Amino acid sequence: MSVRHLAEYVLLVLGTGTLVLSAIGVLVMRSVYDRLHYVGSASVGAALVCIAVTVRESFSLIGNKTLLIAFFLLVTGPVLVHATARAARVRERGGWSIGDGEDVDMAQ
Amino acid sequence: MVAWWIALAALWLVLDDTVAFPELMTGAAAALIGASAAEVVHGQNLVRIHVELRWLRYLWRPLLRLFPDTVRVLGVLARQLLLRRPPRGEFRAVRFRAGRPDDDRDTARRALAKALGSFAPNSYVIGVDAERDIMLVHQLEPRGGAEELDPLELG
Amino acid sequence: MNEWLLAAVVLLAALVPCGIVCALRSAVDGLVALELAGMIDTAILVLLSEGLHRQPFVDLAVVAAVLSFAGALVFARVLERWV
Repeated sequence: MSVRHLAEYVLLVLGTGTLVLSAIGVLVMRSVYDRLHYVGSASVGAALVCIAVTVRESFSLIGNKTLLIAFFLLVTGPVLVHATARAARVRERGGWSIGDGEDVDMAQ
Repeated sequence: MVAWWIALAALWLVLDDTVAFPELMTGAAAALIGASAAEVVHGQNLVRIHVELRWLRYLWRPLLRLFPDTVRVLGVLARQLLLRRPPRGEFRAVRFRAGRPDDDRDTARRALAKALGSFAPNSYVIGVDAERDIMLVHQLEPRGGAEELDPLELG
Repeated sequence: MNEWLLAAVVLLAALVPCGIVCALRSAVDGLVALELAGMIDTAILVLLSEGLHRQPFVDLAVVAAVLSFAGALVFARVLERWV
C-alpha cells in the first residue's frame, strides 16, 4: 500500500468516525449549547472526508471541488454555530447577553 | 465590480473545468450577474468593514486548535457514554472592547473575533456585549484564559 | 462495494440520531440536528461520487453544502425573531 493510499484511508476513517460520533453527541447531550459543539466537530469530519477524496483524485475536477467543499464547510461551520447559539439564547432568555442574576466566569 | 467579476469567473472555471466557447460565455454571464448582485448589496452600505492585517498575527492559534479541540469534544462524549460523567459545558466571558457599532474597524474586529473564536469546536462565541465590553463564549470543556476565548487578542 | 460506498452507508446510519433529535426535541435542538445532517449529507454525496465514479454527485454536494448553510441560517434567524 502506498503512502497516498494509506493517507486516503486514514482520512476517510477519521472523517467518517468523527461524523458518526458527532451525530451520537448531538443525540446524547442534554442542552442545546452542549449539542452545538458537535456541529463544529462534524464540520471537521466532513472536511476530512472531502480531503480524503482530494488525496485520491489529486487536483482534478473532482479533487478541486471536494477541496472547495472542505474549505466551505470549515469556514461556514463556526458561523452556523454562532448564529444558532445566539438564537437559542434569545429564545430562552429574551436576549443573548448576560442576565442580571447570571453568574459567568470571567477569563483572565 | 471588476474584481468581483474576475473572482466569480475564476470560480466558474474551477467548477466547470472546460474552455468550450458556450461554457465560457455562460460563465461570463453568470459572473456578471453575481458581480452585479454583489455591487447592489455593497452599495446599500448594510455592513462596512475594514480589516487591519496586523489583527491576523495570531491566526495560527485557532487553526492549530482545530484538531486538538475536535479530540477534546469527542473525549467529552466518550466520558459521558463510558464513565457516565456528564459534560461541564459553561458560559465564560472575556473583556472585549466593543467600540462603536458604526465604525468599520470595530465592526471588522468584532466579526473576526466571533468567527475565529468559534473556529475550534470546543468554544463558540455568543456575542460581544457593547454595554459591558465583554465577549460571551460557551465552552464544552472549560479551559484556558483570555487567549483561549479571544485567540486573535482583538479585545 | 468499495470503501467509499461502505463509508456512505455508515454515514446514512448516522442520520438516524439526527432524525431522533428533530422528532423528539425542541425546535432549536432540531435545528442543530438539521445542521449536522446537512454536513453528513454533503459527505455522503462526495463519497457516492467517488464510490460510483460519477462526477455529477460532487456538483450535488457543492449545491447541498451551500443551500444547507443558507437554509440553516434562515431557520436560525426565524427562530430568533419570529417563531
